[in-house]
Amino acid sequence: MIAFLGGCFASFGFFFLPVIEVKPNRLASGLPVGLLEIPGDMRYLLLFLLALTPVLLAFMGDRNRRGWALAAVGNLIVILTLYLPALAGSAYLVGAEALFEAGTRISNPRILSSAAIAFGLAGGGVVLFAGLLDLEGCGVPRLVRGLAGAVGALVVVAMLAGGTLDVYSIMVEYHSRGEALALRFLEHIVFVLVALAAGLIVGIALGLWASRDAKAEDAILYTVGIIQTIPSLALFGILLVPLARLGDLHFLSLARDWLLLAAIALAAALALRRLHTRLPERARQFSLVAVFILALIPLSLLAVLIIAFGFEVALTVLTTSELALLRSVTGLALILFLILISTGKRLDLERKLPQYRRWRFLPLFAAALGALLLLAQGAGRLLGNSELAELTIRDFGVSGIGTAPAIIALTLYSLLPLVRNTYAGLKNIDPAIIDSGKGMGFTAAQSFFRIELPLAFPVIMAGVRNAAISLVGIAAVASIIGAGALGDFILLGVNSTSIDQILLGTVPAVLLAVIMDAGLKVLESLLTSPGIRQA
Amino acid sequence: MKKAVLWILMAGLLVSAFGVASAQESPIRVGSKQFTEQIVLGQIIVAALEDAGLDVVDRTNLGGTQVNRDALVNGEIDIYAEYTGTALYNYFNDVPWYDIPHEAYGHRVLGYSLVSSLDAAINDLVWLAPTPANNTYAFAVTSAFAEENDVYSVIDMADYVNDGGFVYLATGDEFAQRPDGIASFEETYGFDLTDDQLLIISNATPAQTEQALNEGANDVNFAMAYATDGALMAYNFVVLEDPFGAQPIYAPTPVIRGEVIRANPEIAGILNPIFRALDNVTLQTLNAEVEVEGLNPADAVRAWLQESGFIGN
Repeated sequence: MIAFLGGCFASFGFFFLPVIEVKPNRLASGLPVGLLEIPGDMRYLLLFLLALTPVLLAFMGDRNRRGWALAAVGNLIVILTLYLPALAGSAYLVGAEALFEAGTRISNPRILSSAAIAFGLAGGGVVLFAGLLDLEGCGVPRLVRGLAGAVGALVVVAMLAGGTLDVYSIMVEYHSRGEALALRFLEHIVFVLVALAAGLIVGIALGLWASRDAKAEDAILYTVGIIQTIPSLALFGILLVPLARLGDLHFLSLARDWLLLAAIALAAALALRRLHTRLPERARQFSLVAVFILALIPLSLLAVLIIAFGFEVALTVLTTSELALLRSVTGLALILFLILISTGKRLDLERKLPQYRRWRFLPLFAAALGALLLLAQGAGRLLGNSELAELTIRDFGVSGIGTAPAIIALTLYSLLPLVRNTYAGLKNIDPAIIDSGKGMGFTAAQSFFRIELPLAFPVIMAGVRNAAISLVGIAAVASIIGAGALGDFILLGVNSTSIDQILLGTVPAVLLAVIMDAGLKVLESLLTSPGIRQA
Repeated sequence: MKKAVLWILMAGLLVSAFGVASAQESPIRVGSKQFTEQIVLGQIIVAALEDAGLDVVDRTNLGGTQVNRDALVNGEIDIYAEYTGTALYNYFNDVPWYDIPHEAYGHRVLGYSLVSSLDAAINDLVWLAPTPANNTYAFAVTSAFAEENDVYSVIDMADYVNDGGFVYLATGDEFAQRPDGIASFEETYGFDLTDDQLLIISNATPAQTEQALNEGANDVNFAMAYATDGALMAYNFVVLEDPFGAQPIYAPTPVIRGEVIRANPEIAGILNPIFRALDNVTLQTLNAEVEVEGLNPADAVRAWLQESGFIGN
């Protein structure tokens, strides 16, 4: 049934919609060409017929055979949908002058992939998916299915790398101004990850607080909700001036002021702890709020500094070529650890090989050591060239434009799903389970880390995935304050109405969102406690 | 193990903090707004300063006018190209001791000397030599429309409007609402556009309004445009002439922080001759190369600078 839909979808696109548009230059709109209008070649008719075959195949009886046939057809549709129009496009470009009326400026003509290609790719994907579903029903091993599903994508990647698809306008755009694409993509990833990490710490703390303290509950949930409604454009604008002032400060003077503020807050907290039983009710609440505000300033300053500096260090570490060896060793150690953990869980090696337990964490230590070295190297590279007295906060990456406001805003935007889900996850735990923990003599910390956190973990992870995907989108807007990332392509493309440039930024962003969601899903399944994992 | 990790961390931080100790001169950060001509101007500054051996950080493609201005005033960037008209209209409204005279807007020399002296006095910003170009707002029509209705200047347009011709003008909200925008044309040439004759696209750049005209979306037949826009060539449009000067002069001019130009006075000598050579045609050609032909802005600019002998190969 699914295959039937996919086939209809693809053939509908090929029959009714233009496959390509021949554009005389980068901006002017192109001449639409349908698949069946391409002259003098049977191959294009074949593609159309190929798109129709799943409609017939859907009625095939033998499920195993049908699965293989659908997978093959799906892959073929995906490949040919990109390949054949590219061929036709190159033919059109040779005689481009004749196609347009006189007076049209023809410079650097190109082929825009049009609606039918999107329909063809989507339809092919659906057919492939239907085939894989059939194969799954027949008990074909997962690895084989994965390979069958990846054939089309791999061939497309190979065609991209080999230059077969260079005729498409997005590839033309990539070749002319894509040299920064890899860096912008990396920036985008690091943005999302750093903001997510910072949001996770703050969000879990706030969610925990909200679930424990009925008075604070509403205030916290409303506040994060309100933050979410501030338009990102406005937030970036608001942050510019104060952060620029902060960036001008000398590190030493800020450190001195910070220590002073922190000492005052600490002293106030200690004094309040002594006094608060003796104070009248109203004065106690008031002084609690006062101490909280006192502590908030140094804490948020520290958070801003750590987050902004963390981003700069992460980006330096990832882009410095001299660190490639250290980087790969650390990454390998981490992957090794994950593999050991997952195989350990599956094979239960611990029982069979008692000594394995002891060595299991060795790769983790190696990875942590490598990460620390990388961090020190990155920090050294950023600060190494200046004297301590000369250092300003701007050297730590805090400034009114660029990464600092972007990361702060992204962190704030990640709070809503994180706080909500942490709160919901913790709130929905059966109190009887916590009680039984108490009965076994668990301390509050033990109860949190051994009972509540593992039980709430799937819900929290759903929030993390939610936050990660929305951050991929919001991070694109950060370009308006010079933070780079993929928004550089998207916003400039929007401002100059260049579809190619918009796509150049959008396609990687979409891929990133999909990959990040899948990666977090894998992480979730690895980290979920085996006791509550769904069968 | 915990202790060992801590020790390693401490050692790493110490090494990094006191590794190399020599203060170096801070690089020059070049900004630009987020549209083609600004990127071109920004890349010209980047290429010229780099060629002179200065340390440059490319922060072009930064954001809107306000972000660039705030960043410059607050020392987040050191230089970007601003338009004299934009500065006159927007930056000195809250100066209590000086009102900008009306005739300054349409007067190239007076406008430039006013913004440069005000900015030097208030914000310690230095306006270098302005370009002879004037990237002002204008109306664009398709060449077919111009031929059919014989509309080649705003005078013709006023006649066309007053004769009851069909008008649907795609414009950004700023141009529609600012007193120096459509209202100024209406006053100078004696016509009146009602709200039904305007398609107001919020925050639209000329690229977007021009595309609306090109596609003929919603029966648009006039569009807001920049006089130096490269896309005008791609679309085969006619820009209506403005013989009475209803529009203020928007001459792109590099603006640099006083601190930076005092530390590197040679910058003026590098940039002034280049910007003096950037007339409307040159700028439009560069814009078209980037926007229409799809050249990389840095490459297009470098090629022009080399051809004109401003930088070596």
